[in-house]
Amino acid sequence: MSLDRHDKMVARVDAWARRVITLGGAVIIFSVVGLVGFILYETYPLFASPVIEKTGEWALASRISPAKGLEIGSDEYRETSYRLDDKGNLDFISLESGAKLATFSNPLLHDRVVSSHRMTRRNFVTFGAEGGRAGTAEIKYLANYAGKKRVVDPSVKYGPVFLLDKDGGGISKIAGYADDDGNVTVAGFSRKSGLFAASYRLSGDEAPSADFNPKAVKLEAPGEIVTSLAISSQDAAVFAGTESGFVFIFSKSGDVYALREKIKASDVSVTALAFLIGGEQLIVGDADGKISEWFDVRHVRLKNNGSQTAYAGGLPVKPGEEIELPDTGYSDKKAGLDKAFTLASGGKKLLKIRSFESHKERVEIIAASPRDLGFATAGGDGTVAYHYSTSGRTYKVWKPGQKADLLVFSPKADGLLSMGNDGMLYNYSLDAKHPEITVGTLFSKVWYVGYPGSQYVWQSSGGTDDFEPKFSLMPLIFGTLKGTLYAMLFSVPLAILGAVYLSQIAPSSLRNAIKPMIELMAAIPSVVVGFLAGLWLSPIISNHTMSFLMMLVSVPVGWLFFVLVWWAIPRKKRPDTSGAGELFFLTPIVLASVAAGYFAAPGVESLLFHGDLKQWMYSTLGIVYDPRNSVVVGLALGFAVVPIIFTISEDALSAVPPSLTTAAYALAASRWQTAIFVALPAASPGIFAAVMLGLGRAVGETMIVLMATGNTPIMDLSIFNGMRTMSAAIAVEMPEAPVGGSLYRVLFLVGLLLFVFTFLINTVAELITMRLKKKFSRL
Amino acid sequence: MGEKKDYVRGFWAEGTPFIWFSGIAAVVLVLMVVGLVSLILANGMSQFWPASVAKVSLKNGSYLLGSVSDREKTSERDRILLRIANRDVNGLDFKWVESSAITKVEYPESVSVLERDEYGPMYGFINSLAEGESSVASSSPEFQNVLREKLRTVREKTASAKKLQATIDSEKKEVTAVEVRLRRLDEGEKANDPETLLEKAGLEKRRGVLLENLGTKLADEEKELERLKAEVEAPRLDVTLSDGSVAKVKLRKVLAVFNPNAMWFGAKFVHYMGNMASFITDWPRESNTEGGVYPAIFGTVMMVFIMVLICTPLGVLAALYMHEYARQGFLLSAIRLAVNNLAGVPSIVYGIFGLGFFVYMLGGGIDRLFFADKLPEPTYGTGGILWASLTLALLTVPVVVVSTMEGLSAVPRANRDGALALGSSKFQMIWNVVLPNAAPGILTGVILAVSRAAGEVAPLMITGVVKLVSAVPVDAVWPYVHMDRKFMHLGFHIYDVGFQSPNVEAAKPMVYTTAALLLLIVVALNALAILLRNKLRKKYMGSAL
Repeated sequence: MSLDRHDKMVARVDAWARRVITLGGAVIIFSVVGLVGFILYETYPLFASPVIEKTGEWALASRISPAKGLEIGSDEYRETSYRLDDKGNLDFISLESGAKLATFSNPLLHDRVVSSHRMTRRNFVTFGAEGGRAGTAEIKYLANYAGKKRVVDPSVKYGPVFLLDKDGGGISKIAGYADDDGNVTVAGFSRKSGLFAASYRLSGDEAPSADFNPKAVKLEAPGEIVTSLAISSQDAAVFAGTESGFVFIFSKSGDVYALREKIKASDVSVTALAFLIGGEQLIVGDADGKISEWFDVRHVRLKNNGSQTAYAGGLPVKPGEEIELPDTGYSDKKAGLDKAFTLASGGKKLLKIRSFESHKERVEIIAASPRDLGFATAGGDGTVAYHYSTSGRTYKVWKPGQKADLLVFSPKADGLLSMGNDGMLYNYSLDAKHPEITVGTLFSKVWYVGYPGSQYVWQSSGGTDDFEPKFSLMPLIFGTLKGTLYAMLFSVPLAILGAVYLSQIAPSSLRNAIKPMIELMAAIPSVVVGFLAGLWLSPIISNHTMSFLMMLVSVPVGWLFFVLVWWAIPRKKRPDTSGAGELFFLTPIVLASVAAGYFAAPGVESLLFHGDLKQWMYSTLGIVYDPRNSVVVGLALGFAVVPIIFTISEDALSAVPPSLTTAAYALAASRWQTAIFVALPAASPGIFAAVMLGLGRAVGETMIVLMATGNTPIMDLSIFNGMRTMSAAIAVEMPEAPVGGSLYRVLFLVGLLLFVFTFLINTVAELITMRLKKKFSRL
Repeated sequence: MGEKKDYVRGFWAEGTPFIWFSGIAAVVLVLMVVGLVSLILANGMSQFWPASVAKVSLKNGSYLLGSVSDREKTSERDRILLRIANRDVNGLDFKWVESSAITKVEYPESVSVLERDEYGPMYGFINSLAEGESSVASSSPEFQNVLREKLRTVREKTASAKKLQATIDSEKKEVTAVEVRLRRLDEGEKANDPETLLEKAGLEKRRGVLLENLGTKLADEEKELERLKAEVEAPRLDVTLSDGSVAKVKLRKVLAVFNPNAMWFGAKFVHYMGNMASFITDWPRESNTEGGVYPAIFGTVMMVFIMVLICTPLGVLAALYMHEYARQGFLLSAIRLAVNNLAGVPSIVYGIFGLGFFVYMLGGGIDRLFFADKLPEPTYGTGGILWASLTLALLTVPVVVVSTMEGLSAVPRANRDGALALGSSKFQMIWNVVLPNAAPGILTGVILAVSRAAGEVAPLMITGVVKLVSAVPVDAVWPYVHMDRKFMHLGFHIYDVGFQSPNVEAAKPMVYTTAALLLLIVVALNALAILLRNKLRKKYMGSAL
């Protein structure tokens, strides 16, 4: 090979090497950016606003009967829709072409229909007619596959038509509810005779007969004009909104309805009522266009039996008076209460929880989403709005071309249909991926169903379909900070003192022996530390809590004792403790103090705490001892953090230029004075960086907290119970989180927070260390 | 008076008490490390020692057989914790016995321990080894030999039965595939379409042909299998338990029989070593609380291996780029800082990235492209060893980068300049001068990465580790290396057995032993890295002078 060719070869190799190596560098840079970018990409949709777009509009006036429409709905693929008109006829319309597909009419119904109601989750329609009759019909869709094309076949199953108001008054408002077993409840109001309810069983097979006659019971609301009705799917209770602004609640027991409560819900007339899915949250709309959410809250009755005015929940209660309050932990003694009060159950009460953006005129319709806690409202001013219960947000307000007289969600909650009396049908697509998540629901208190007030709650999964996930990050952040705090309390003093001793005071032979040992400590897998904490340490501390607490006292006392003994020995007679001897000399002191604490514990416990510390804590302080608690976590997590703080502090202390320390010695400073007043201040930025890095490690550590705590997401500073940290929440819940769901993305957000937090901390620490290095190199 | 005051001031100013105080901190640190390591090792290594089985006679006339595993002696009570084993009979492994209720404790040599493939060990007195009508009494002199021989033949026959079963399965495989397809068609949405019916008819015909071809061969093999199974089931041990009942234990279920009280130290040691060996080479049994950790070791090693293959070249290339090629400046410092900091980002964050990006995005994409016929059953779109390794590679790359950079910057400038002055190209200089000198640094980084990866659990939990697998990711079935398989991991094994198993008390020995094994591996790797690093430092400190 000629030299020339060889040179070319070398040059070519060189060029290729440059390319490959640059590519390697690019991959790393890309990974850093990609990591953050991907996590952001997965988190971002949480905060994206729901998108509502019009996908079609049809002028149906010429194609269907000109009669007034009462209900509309669609199949789950949003291919066809139906309309019920006031003659009781059902028209099916294609949402692709606007063509009429079929018409059904109810053979049993001869009067004009004046009111109707449609269940949120089913196309189960209840209608009331002139002459006091009521009836039901269920629209069903059967999907057939002809070849590869899906064809949706609509059909109607009519229920019985019966006389609800025996006096024949027109049913001006009606609501119906059918459960999965075929039990139907129908409530209706006629101006002539008032409010009635009828319950009966509808088996699926029999043909409806004209002489069906279920018993209708009267619901007493004298003098009231009912303007809206709703039936709870929880207990078939009837909620009636009236012209005078009240909501009457009739609860059912057996066949009888009794007035449970009468609540002033509005200053003006209540014009619309609807339950969200689950039948807990009641949405109330009034004649002013105001929209509010209400649900039942468990109350307690507190009676002041004392002789002075006492305070409960911040309210003054005079002697002998009684007050009714939401049960914010009074009945299970979690909330403090003046001893003057006696406690009685107050039952459930409907409370106003939150309000939404108002319409300018009266609320005409409230349509609940069949999938989540979203709902849409239509106002008299022609606007339609989409709201979400949990977040309390009104995401979008828009004006269809014509005023919406009918409004309904599609069965999969991926679309909305609205229709005006002029026959204009609007088809909207709804893309609301995470409407329950806002910065507010993540970081501030939210009032959930079943809770006595606004709280921070993390509860991501539950047993039933109706379960509402609760995604407050505060309990997780709190748990993380709590675990970190206890870990730092344990590790920072230990690591820094140890570092000072080994770098400044101990002879270098000792230092060289011990430092690698503590570096190895960093290598111990956290799963090993966590398993020991959970299976070994936690039962030991639980069985010997008093001994453990005594050791915290006995070691310092032992130290003081030996210091005093030392002091008492005349200087010349003191044994030589220089060099490694000091440590050999100290070890028995530590062990002896620990032993003293252990053996003194039972005596102290019986003397101070009647022989049982935990019992005493529970009865006197109300503290429940959880074996997997913060002490265990603090020790275990501290164990994991110690080597980081120690190693970096020790490096910083050792890097203090000898010129400084020798100068101090020359000025007759003692070892201790030099270490504390010269070396420590000089290395303090490095020690700060060490603590920061330790903090970063403690915040992100997963396995130890997973194994050493009970993982309950509570917010309680007590050292005797556990916590759930951010990292543990990810590890536990990620495998069960459906891809792309709210939990999945919220956990990504938790990961993002962890990332940002540790990245910032590490950057600060790194910058400090770099500056310190520069400073020392100048000295 | 004044003199004494000085003395006091001198005493405190000298700071002896404070020095002691900081010394105590150092002592506590050392005690913690030594304590933890020795606790794990002592507990982990002692689990396999064949414990003597005591015969504890009680005041009510009955007796218990068990090994003493704990004793609680306080002023109020004095009791011992006996491991009475025989979980299938007693329901519990352990029992507290009050010392006051005990009349006598002896260690009879005839007590046998039967290690079984389920329900843990059995303690009792063996009466005889029986097979059908014939039996050999344990008192007869040739009993031990017969037992050993029988155990061996039963094991061999079990193995050949298993092999035969595999043969039959593979012969039937095609038929099975046809049957699966038939079932799919039946359950599918278009079960009554004419096309489907046509396909079904074809498949049924094919099934008939296949079955005919297999014909008598299959029937013979199945008969042989039946015979083997019957032979394996027959031999049994009759064991008298402490409650007086006689248990008939099938020899097939017995792994080993020994009499711990009759063993001398050497025999126990041999037994101990055997136990250790089977811990490493056996599969887990009894929902992971018994048996070995072979698949976990395999999974850990394989995952680490794949990870090293990815993170070493990447880390070294990146370090070379940043140290040798990139233009030094603010941007590069920022990147360097970012890479440094990545090492401190919590591992669980890498875990969610791995799950979201590798598993769902990449894996899901691969499934849609190449395994669409299997969907919705995921192939790569679910956690697996490849994704877990990639996740850990990402997590450990910063370690390799940082360590390599350290190694690169330790190469003296004179060496580089010398090479360049001799006319070598930049890459020749790097290849021949820089890299060899930086090798210990690179190696340190790799070892640290390996030890971090071996001990890391959190990110694996969401990217492909499972508590139990049916096969390791490498086997004799094409394509031999199954990167999509889920795997077991020593660290996760500790978490799972210690915290997820129903019988934590019985699982503790397993957890301690696994922890000891993991600790040994990781600490050994780290010690190696520290040694290498020190060597590196010394070498260049020397040459720099």
